[in-house]
Amino acid sequence: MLKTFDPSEAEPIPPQCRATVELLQRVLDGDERAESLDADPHPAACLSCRERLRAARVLLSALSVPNEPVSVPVGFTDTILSAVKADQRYRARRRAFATVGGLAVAAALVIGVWFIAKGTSENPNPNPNTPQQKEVVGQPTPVEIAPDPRPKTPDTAPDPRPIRIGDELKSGLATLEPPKPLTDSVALAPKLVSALTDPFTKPATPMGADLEPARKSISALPTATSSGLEPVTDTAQKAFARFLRDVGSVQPKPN
Amino acid sequence: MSVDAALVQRCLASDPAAARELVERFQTDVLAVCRRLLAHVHDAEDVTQEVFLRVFRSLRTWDNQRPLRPWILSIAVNRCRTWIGRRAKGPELADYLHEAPDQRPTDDSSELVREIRAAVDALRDEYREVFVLFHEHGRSYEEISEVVDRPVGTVKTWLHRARLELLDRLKSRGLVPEEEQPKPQT
Repeated sequence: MLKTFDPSEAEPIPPQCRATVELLQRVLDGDERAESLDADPHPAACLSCRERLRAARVLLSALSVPNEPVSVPVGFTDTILSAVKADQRYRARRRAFATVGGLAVAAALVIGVWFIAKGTSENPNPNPNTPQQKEVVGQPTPVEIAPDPRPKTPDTAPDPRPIRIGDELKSGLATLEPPKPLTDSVALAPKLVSALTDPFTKPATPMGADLEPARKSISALPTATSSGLEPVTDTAQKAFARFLRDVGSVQPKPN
Repeated sequence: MSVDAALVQRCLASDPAAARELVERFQTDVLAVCRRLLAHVHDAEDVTQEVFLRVFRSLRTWDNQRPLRPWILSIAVNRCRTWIGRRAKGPELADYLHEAPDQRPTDDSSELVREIRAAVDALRDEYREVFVLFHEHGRSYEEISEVVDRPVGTVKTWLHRARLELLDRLKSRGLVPEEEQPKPQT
């Protein structure tokens, strides 16, 4: 195995040999003819240069042997060209996908911005009751859990003009009105939480008249339990009285 | 406009005849360089195909003030370097797959050429590139300088060192005849 050449190991060329070495390089470069080496008297007097000269002649004779011609395989050009075409098609397709994808994302962004802008312009004050709402002590007012996104009776008539995204963008309406800030939603949060939790934490509302029979029935439960009979409520009494009245009005048929 | 520039212009205009002309003009050189640097026929064909893919991909970046051949050869040399690096990381082929039986007649000159080739294959990559381009492809220093993207002086130094290594190898193999000893005076 040939050892790797290390420039630091290269033997320094003595000054008297320099001209010969340079001549050798010029011959090997093809700048000088090989016959010019014979005209140099120095190698005859220098052992190193004689060795260099012999080696150079061997190298020159080896390099003078023509290389075997490289034969291109049959159909190699067509193989290359078809590979190039396939590569170009693939790259064109990838470019097209990238373009379409970019346009789709841009369109989605534009539509999203437009929707946000439109929603803001239709409902400039999303929670108008908030500032005026006053709570009466001891009588909590019903809180609207979620604001109605579309008021049943709009204040303004709907714009008969068809919506054009381009016009909105050109006039700058879509961008002039910024979307509803996040702080509005955050400000609503405490009210929403209290509306959800008040029925469970605050004292219950007194029962209405509708629930009075049920209350009576429940209050009679201890008595009924001790007597083993079901409690008779007003409703049951009324129903029984109605039954008797109906029975009394029926005339028995003669046999 | 130079011939190269006109050809590239036609290629950029998607002229299929121009693409074929470009491939036919340079494929022999590219394949020869790849075969010498990779020392493997099939790898050389694969890399040559890859070289032309890259050539057509980056034709727009070619400077039309400069010759086309060194630019294409520089792509070939770079691809060969990459391929050699990749091959070094991959699994090694069985020895018998590396060498095909040589059917060429054997004489002194062919033996010498084989020795030279073996010595060139053992050179460092940079030395081998400049040696192959200079001595086997007849490229000038300036062209080689463009191909390997190094100054001309560096190319000369590499070539000089490559020759010294080759001579060392030839001497070690006994291919440099010993100096005839002067006969003793009687």
